This record gives sequence, structure tokens and C-alpha cells, in this order.
Amino acid sequence: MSNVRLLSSDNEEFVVQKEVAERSVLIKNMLEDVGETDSAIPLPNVTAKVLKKVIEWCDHHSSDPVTTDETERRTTDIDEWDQKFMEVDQETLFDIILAANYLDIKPLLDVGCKTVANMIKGKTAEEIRKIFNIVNDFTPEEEAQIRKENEWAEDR
Amino acid sequence: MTRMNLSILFTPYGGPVFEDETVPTYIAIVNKKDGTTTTKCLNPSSRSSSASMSARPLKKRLISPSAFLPKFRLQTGVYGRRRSSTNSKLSDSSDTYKDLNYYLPLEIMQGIVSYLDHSSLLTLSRTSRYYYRLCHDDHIWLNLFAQHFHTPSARISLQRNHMTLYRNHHTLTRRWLDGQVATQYLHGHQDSVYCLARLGPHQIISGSRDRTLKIWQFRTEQQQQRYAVDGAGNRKKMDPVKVITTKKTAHEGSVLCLRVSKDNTTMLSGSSDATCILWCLRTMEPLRTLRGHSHGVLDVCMVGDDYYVSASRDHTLCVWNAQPVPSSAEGLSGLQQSASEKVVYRLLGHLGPVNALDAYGDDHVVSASGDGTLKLWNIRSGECVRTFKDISNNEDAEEATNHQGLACVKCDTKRGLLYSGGQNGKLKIWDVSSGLCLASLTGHHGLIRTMDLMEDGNILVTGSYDKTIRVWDLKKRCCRLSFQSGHSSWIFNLLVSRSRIISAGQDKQIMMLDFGKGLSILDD
Repeated sequence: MSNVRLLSSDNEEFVVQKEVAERSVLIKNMLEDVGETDSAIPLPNVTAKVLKKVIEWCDHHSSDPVTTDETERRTTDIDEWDQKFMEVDQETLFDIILAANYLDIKPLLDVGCKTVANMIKGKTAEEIRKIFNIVNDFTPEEEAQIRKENEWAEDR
Repeated sequence: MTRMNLSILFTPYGGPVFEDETVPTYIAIVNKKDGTTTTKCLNPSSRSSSASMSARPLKKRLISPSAFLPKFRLQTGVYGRRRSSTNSKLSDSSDTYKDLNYYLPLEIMQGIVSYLDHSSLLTLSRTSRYYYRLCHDDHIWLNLFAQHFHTPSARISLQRNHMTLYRNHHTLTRRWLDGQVATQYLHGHQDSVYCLARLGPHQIISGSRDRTLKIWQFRTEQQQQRYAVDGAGNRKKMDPVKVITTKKTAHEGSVLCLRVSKDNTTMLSGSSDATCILWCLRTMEPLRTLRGHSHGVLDVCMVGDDYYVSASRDHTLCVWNAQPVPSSAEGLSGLQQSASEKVVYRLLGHLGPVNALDAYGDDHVVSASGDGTLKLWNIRSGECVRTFKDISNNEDAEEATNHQGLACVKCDTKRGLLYSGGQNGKLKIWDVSSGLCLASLTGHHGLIRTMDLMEDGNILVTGSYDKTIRVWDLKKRCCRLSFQSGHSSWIFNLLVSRSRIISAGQDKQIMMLDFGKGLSILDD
């Protein structure tokens, strides 16, 4: 079983099994293009801290079947392990999402997006603003207008 | 005059309050002196929310186009990863600012919001301008709409604002829960109206004891509104429905049943004169007469493209060849008849009148009989594949034989289920593969004469000799709504679409309960 060496943006090297690293479509394509190589693959957009997390995820999911069914991918809930995995501070969560996007690891990107979506669900506008540091730039008139527009969706 | 029959409302089980889930919303349809109709929720306090809903006039809930949306559309140019300098207040505090959208690029933000439900989306849209634009992206609403309702065809999708469409369908769904309807009566038949069939999204056809067929045209919501704008001065009310064709049939008895072909070109009518007539819908002229029964034809059905099936009071079913008559022979139909009229199979087995039929896929038909059984027939082989009989409650054998007659049946081929109604007032759900009765739902206090299934298979509507119409939630297997007092006598037939229930009865009238009043929706 061959290994692959990955180099983070802050120059930390990680040795990873090939099929774990190939969860990343970016790395998989690179390996196909370059062929067997001894030099480490540089990942200038990912810090060691985040890369470590991403490798942990890829390792746990290395034998997952690839789901091509869009609706199935969309509707499946986050499994328990992933939920635990995503219990990180917000900045790390966003960094994992960005890394998954850059490295082209769709299932991890999905889990990340679903985690953020779950943080939004069921909250009030004020609570959401607090969680994500959103500054309200509406005028009071606009706010009143939007509330009226949204009346149809209110639970009775 | 006000016509309302309250005596049947909470009897015979009236008294203590039931659990909320099991009590349907009772709705009275009240005809006022000026000829208009209103609805009234009859339930006591427990469902006060829906009562107040129903009491609220429909007009107030009509959706007015938002004046607010376009204002933001103009700014969509700045819809990007980082907000442009439009907001200097924010750039001041940019080092401490960790708003999601400063962190994540637009395509990821779109990915995140695509996992939100409609109410979370709307809440998020209230947090700031950036999110307002993000959450009003039409694509998100198109996807939500497809997930929750149905996939709109590409042609329609191009012209719509999908958030508005989602909102209208959401409102429509609520109205089905609350029973909020606009009622309209269709007058014209001289005698009992036995049967109805749909001719398209805006037309129905009815058959009556007066031996005529009538085609009714519905004006679309847009057409009605357009007129209202034109005649704003005198506010002359326009009928939302009108008769466009009345056709006296050659039947020597009542028109008891009607079915329209899938391609909307032909129609079959069955009569108490024991014959069926095949009609060309374009010309409304008869093409063939099918003779073979010795008593009235109680129901007809088209199975696949090849066969017609008729059910009769003579206890049999007949399977007919549906070969089209060559167009050159139209004038020679007399000659053509003898050849094309042959009965392919006569299906024997029922011990009572065969009251109702429904196609099960392209090869099978299900029949419901006064003998208390349903039978599944393969019409290509002429075999009875299965007989359905509820053996769970035969403790009272005599009662069983007297009150088990079945009057109507509907098939859900996708789920492999049958629904039947009959003399005992029970709605029964059957599993086709096992032949077992899965559920028996009570509520009606008289024979269930007719039923129709909504396209999505989640709502069934029944009409009864107890003069009421009930709406059943098939997921929860409970009764949602009960429309009281809409018909003054027996209900014979009904049709259901996403926005309407249309029913016909012995009182010579057709009633339309419109759930979609004022909403622009995708129907049919």
C-alpha cells in the first residue's frame, strides 16, 4: 500500500495512505497527472491544523461508497461520527468547509454546509445575527415590510 | 334561504371531546339569501386556530404583489463574495467582523442555504441585505418547490417567480388542512347528476338522469381577475363557470358513468339502458354503441390503450376491444358496429351488482361489488387474480351480509394499495400483494358512494349518502375535513384536483369547493 506526502501551507508534512488522500478529487487528479512521486504535494490553501482535521475525516470515510444520487446526498442526515467531528469552533468549521471546497471533497463539503444550515434552522433572526456576527443593515421600514412579506410562512 | 343540516354533526357519537388528531374540522356550507355561499367552521374551541382562519374573509388572504422585491433586485450587482463599499459602517469594523459571507464564497453560501427549509430561509433573509438577496435566489425556491410539491415543467418554470409559486402552494396546503374554500354551484341539469369526468385543467363533463351530457368551462384565476379590472366601474360579477355544450344522448336511460381517455380524444358513457356509448370528444358525436349487458351499466373504465371495461347490475364485467374505428367508416358506423362491438371477455364471479371499476396499471382492473368483495382481474387473460374480502369483523354474520356491499374503489398503483367505500360507511385500505385489509376508517354515517384520489396519493376525498364530503389524510390515515350541508341529498360522484373538489348529487347540482381561490398555482 503506497503512501502520499502532503505539505500544508505552514510547511508541515503529513504522510497519508493513497486511498485516504484520494478522497480529495484535487489530489487524485494531481496524482494521476504526475504519477508516482517522492516529493510532497503542496497544499498552499490549507493550514496544518485544518489539514489534520481533513485527513482525519478522509481516513474515517476512506471506504465509503461514492453516492452519485443527488437527492440521496441532499436528504441524508449527518451521521453521529460526523456530528462529533464537526463540534469545533466556528472558524475551524468554516476553514474545513473552505478546505473541502478547495480539495474537492464533496461529501465533506456537504457535511459542513449541512452543519451550518442546522445552526440556522429554528433560530430567530436576532439569534442568527448573533451566531454569525451579522450586522443588520435594514432600515426599520424595510424590516417591517419584510416581516409583512413573510407572514405567509408563520406558524399558526 | 339558509340551508344547514346540523343534526348529523356530532351524532351518534356526540359528547366528549376527542383527541385533536382524530376530530376532523367540520365545515358547514351556508347558502345566503343573496345567492352567495360562505363556509363556517363548526368545531368547538379545540381547533380555534382553524376556526378563526376559516372565519376570516378570503379576500384578505389574497396575495398582493410585493412592492419591496424589485427594490432589491436593482442592487443585485453587488451580490458577491465581499460587499462593496455600499456600506461604510461595516468596513470600519472589518477586522473584528466575522460574518459568514465574508468568510465563505458565494457558491458555498448557496450550498448552505440550499439545505434550509422555507421558514429558516425567510428568517435568514431578515438578518441583512446580503442574506435577503441570497435567500431570494429563484433557484433555491425552484428546488424547494420541486422537493415539497412537484417538479414544474420547464416551460412553466421559465415564466415564474418560484418563491411566489412556493408561497401559493404552501397557502393551498394550509387551506386543505383548514378547509378554507370558496363554494360555487353549477346549475343546469334537470335531474340527478350521476357522473363527472375531467376534460382538462379547466373543463369537466357531467352526466345526468336527464339523459344529457354537459361540458362546463372554468375561468382561470387570471381570466377572472382580468375581467374584474375591466369592469371595475360597475363591479358586475362574472360566473367563474359556464356551460359550453349540452348534448342530448342516445341513451334510453340515465347516464350513470363517464370515463375520458388519457389522450382526451374519446369518452365512454354507461347507462341504465344497459349500453355504453363511445364518444368523439372533439365533435361530441357518438362513435360506437357497446351492447352486451342485460342490466344497467354502473361503471366504465379504460385500461391501457387497448381495452374498455364495463361493469353492470347484471353481476358481470365486459371487456371490449378499443380498436379505433377507421375514420372513413364514420358515416357507416352501423356496418362497423357488428365487427367492433364484440365482447372480448365476460368476467364472471361477482355475486351481486358490480358498482365500480378502476384501472390498476395497464393490464388489470379492480371491481367493487354489492356482494362485498373487490376483485382484481387481468383483462388480457380474463382471469380473476385476487378477491379481496374483509374477514376481520365477521362476528355479526347477518350484519355483514346486509351491510358490506361496496360502492366505490380507487387504485394507487404506485403504492400497491386499493381504497374502497360502501354501505357500512367505512373507508377501507387494502394491500394488493397480500390481499389484506390494512385499515378501516370510520366517519361517514351512510353509504360511501364515490371517492377520488389526489395525484400525489396523499389525500382521498369521499362522498356519501349522508350528504357530506370528507377529506382523508392517507399518510396519517385520519379524516381531516368534513364538509356538511353542501348538498341537500345523496352525493353520487366527485372529482379531486390539487385545488378543487367537484361533487355531483341527487339535488341536481354540481358543487365546486375551490381551495385555490385567488392563488396562482400549478394545477394538473
